[in-house]
Amino acid sequence: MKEVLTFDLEKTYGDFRIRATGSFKPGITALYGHSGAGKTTILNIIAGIENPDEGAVAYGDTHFYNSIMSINLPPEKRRIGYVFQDDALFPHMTVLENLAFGSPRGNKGALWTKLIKLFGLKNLLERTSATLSGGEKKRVAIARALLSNPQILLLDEPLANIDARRRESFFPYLDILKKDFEIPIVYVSHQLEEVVRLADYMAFISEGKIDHEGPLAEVFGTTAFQLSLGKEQRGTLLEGEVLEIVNGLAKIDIGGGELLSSDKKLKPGDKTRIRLLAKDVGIALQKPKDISILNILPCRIEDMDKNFSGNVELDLAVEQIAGKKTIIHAEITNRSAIQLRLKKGLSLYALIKALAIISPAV
Amino acid sequence: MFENADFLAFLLSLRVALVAALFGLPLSIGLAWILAFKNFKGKTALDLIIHAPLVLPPVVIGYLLLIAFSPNGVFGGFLKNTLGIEVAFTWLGAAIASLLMALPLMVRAIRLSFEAVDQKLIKAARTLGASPKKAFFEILLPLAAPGIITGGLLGFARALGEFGATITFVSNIPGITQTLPLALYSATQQPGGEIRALWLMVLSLVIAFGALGISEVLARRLRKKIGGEK
Repeated sequence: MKEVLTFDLEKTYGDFRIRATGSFKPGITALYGHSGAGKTTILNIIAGIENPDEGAVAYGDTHFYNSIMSINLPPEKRRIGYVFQDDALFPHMTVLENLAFGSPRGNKGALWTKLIKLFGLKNLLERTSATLSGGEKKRVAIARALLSNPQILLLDEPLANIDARRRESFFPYLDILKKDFEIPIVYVSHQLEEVVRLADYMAFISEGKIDHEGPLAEVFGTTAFQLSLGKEQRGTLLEGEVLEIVNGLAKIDIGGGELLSSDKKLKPGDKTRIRLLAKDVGIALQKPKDISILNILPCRIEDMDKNFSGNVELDLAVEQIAGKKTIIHAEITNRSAIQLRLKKGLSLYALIKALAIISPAV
Repeated sequence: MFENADFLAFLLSLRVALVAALFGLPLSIGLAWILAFKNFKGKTALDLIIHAPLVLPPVVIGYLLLIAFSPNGVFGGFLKNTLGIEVAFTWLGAAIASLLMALPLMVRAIRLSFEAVDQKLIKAARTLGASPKKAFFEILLPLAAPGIITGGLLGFARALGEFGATITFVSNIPGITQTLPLALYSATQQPGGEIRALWLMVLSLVIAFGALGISEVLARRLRKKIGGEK
């Protein structure tokens, strides 16, 4: 049942053109890009409520759409759960009727019982959608889609209509998807925090084209993706696991070394993702002593380049311990680069404050 | 004061308007759906034909019906020979004339209410496994229901008031084709018919306001359900 959703499609609206090729595996794939990049259109085409000009969409051996073979499976035959950005709950039905609408077994069966419990819907069943809060609507919409027993789940900006202060408390509901449903889940977002927190894979879309696609940390490190981020947001995404807590600091194994984080929420054994901003990484040629900075990693300069703002960007390869290569991005001023006589291949130390390491458990 | 012919006119009008509205409603729903969601060659022509009774003099429509449905006409001959039904100069003819005159109003009201339904809801229903038929009956129709009731009422009212096409097509035969407006017209043409005319007018008002009241109650109840108020 571990099928892959593949697509290769083209669609033109006026002078905007979407050309997207990709394959989504079981797990959460973030379809990430700026507003207007064509994300929702790709979801619509996968779901079959919009047609491409030409191309193909398939799930395993099942053709959903194929312009050469003249196949266009109607949406109801695709078994795709689609959670719209504005939920699209039926206003003339109660929550119970909404949930049962697409459920093959109505309001019965193990899946019903499970989802009502997981999404905390028991007390909402008799309400109509107009009386629900943004978060409640979204929970109903996600449960409704899952109850139709989909083989693929599409989520269009699920946190967009939820009050910013309540987003954090909504994450557990999305974690349910990750843990309990082994289907490809496509998660459209333009919020980096969500993507870092939830996604296994990322497809980075820009101007109607999927630029890069792959495991999250890998796509995160690509130049195209880094350029799309604001200057303040550029950096590295590291996957790690908390080894132990020492004197209130979490020691995190990042494969090619260890980092200390002051994040108080971490527990030993937690898997975590660390976002390290390039501007938070300092450089020293000798291993400094008598310094407050706790993370001092021996590195080598893999690549360096001046960026638009005249600063120097460095790709630092952490000296491996376990044979896994880890690259850290750093941004320093041109003056520092000249003063330290930095050049490709030079060995040095990357300095990172424990306070700069913010790492939600995933 | 109360004449048997008046009571017959009252019953006949009620029957003609009800038949026109009840048969016109499904027809209008179908036509409204086609005009709202389908694109095809000749859509403009269909739209024009449906709206013709709104812009043509009713007498012209009545005359066209007379030509088509007289026993020698295309439809009239067919109906008479195969089904043994005669429509010219019968109450059925009055109902057909009324239906035709009411159709554009009904189609317009229903089409607007279809177009006002958020299309994303239909699409969501489809992704949840609903066939186009299920999406139509369980999502589109209930959500457009207030507009459909308005359309039905408009059709009923228009049918009730139908005069020109009816008198041209089925004439003004007391007890057979003389509806309330026709009876009222006859009364005003008679010397000393003022009292009768007044009485007929009161009857017309009773039907019209009765229908308006019923549809208003229905529509309000439906809107409440859709709006989610409890």
